[in-house]
Amino acid sequence: MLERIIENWLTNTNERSYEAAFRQVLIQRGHTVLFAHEHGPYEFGKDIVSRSGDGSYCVYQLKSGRIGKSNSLEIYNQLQELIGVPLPHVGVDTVLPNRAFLVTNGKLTPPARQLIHLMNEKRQSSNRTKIELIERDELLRYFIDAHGEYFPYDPQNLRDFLDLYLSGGAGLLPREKFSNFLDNALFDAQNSKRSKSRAQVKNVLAVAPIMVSYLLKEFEEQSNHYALAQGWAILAMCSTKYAIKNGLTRKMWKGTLDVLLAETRRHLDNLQAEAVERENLLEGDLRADGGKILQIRTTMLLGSISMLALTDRSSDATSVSTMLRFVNKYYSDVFFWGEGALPQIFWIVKFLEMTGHSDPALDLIKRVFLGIIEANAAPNLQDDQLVLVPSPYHGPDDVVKSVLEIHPDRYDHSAAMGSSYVIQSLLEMLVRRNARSFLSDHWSHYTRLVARQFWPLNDYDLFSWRAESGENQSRVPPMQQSWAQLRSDCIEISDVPHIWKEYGELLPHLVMVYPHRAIPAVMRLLDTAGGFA
Amino acid sequence: MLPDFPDQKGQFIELTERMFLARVRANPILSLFPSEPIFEGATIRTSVESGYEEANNLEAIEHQFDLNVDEIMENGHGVYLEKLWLLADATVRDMVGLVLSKISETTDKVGNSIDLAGAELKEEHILDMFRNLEIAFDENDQPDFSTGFILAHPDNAPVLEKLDRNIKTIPRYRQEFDQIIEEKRRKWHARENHRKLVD
Repeated sequence: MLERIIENWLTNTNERSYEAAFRQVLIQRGHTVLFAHEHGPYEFGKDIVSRSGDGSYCVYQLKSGRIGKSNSLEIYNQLQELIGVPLPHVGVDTVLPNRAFLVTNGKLTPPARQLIHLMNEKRQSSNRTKIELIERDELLRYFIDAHGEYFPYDPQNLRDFLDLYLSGGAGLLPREKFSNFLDNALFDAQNSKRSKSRAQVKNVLAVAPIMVSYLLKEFEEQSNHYALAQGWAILAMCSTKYAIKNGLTRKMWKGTLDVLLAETRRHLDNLQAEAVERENLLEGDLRADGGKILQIRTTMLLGSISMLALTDRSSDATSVSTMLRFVNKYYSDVFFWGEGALPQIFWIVKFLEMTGHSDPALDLIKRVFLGIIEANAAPNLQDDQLVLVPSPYHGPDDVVKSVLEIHPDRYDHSAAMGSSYVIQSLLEMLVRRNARSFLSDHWSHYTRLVARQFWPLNDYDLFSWRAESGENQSRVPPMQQSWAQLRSDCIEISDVPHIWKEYGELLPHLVMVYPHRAIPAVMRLLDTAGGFA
Repeated sequence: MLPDFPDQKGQFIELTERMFLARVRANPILSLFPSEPIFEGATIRTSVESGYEEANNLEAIEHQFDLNVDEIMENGHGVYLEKLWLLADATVRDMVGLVLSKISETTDKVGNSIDLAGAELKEEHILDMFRNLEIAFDENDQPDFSTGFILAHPDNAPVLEKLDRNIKTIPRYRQEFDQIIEEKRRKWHARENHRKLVD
């Protein structure tokens, strides 16, 4: 069964989509990945550069499908670069690769094979590096072998695996099911074993991305970039929790974590590329689209694209200006659909500020702040149309169900009355932006809301979908508050657990996939300088 | 196995579980309090301006019932429903007991309890209770009793209604009640004027 699933995925994917899994295979086989395709445009035919356990420098060019007469000339030129251009990626620009591989999930036709053969004969005579081939069957074997004992053969896990694998791929990623599957089938299952060496822990971390590559196959087929980015980000969270729990420092599994973040960014890049090309942001069955649903989608998109602009080191002036045009075009549709939208609003605010639009950014924070106070602090209980802002434990899919009035009884948001999970973070954002006059005007209303948050007992549980242990904290704000004290409190990060800071580059993605983790301490880290750099 | 209808049964069970919760929440006492789901963790910590903090762990309420094969053969799924409603009633009893004991415990802790020590309930006792309450006022400066309520055993209702009537109609009680409200109004304004940002 495992073979069939992997074969089905491998034959229907392209080189960009199996690259992450292939890099993981290399890591699992003891290689250190020195360079990968997404690092920059100057690849010189090299999609991946690695150093093997014996110190050899290896270069890989990845292809998909059949390599035949029609594309062999193009590939010939790339192969010349692959073996002929030194490796600036390893810091020594005179180093030539010791081994070079052409990898494809298809097969080579006889003429293409003959071409490689002739190249190799010529190079062998001068004792230079030859081109080695990894074709579909061998590649398939690599992926199957990588799994070892880790495939979820347990019936319940297998069922969950197939549910996700056959989910259709057109909707949002079922985040709860996905993260629970990764924990139950892979990470927690390994945690239950008594003794684990550091190498075993690293091996589990290396296998997980391979499994996720084909678990997300249907989302890949639908080009569902948003769901794919969420899937890879959630894997990064589950992996981080597992690594911390098992005593691995960040440096010890850096290669795998880099792959996870790179994949997340790649799908966000694709999302951005598709979104900016669209005439409008409608999607799917139009009979149930538009209106609030369109506004929810717009907010999700703008938030994601803004985050990408702020966290992607390769963003240049041109891409930032493209993003700015996109944000400007749809800014008026931004909609605070629930407290789970705080991270999306936050990134839009940060992006506007980065591009010199601080006034609309501040107005957006104020609008959301007042919106929560009006809805949750003093709701009119006689109003049949009472609309409270749902907590961050409710996702956009829950809110869409409310909008479409399907199963409304299952999404009773009345628990939000008189309280808010995000009001303190919004208050702190306003304080950091020195909005004293605005806050003085609304302080009396603000103090009528109870500020809530969940604080995990174990630091690693920040990266959990749900933590078993921790406190549901409710804090009644002080009636009278010193501005100076507030200014000092809202930049205080000394009590934030060290491990949250160590994994700072994960936090932007964490709050997007698990918005209930956007607690004031985390938002403080992100909003103060360098929080996500 | 024999032919079965697991999907339809699953939908039925899901529906009855929702009806169970609705029945529990419809209880006149429990419906006075907002309910809220807890998504993770098992501790609830509340802190207020004075520095007072209280942490509580979630308490489980458990009941069980047995389904007898003969009963099911005879009466079908109605047996399950009947037992489920009995279970709901038992759950309500436990939850109401828990709520009342928590209120009692909290009022004792903050010194708001009045012990009659076996004496007859009188107007003065009701007025004392109002003295201990924190009362909010609406935009027309009228006391807002919308979130307040008197919870009593049904047997005591006629007595409470009589005392309430007396406080409203007998001048000395009325005057005392008005004084209490006026004092509350003054404190309310003082408290509300305190809600501000200072240097």
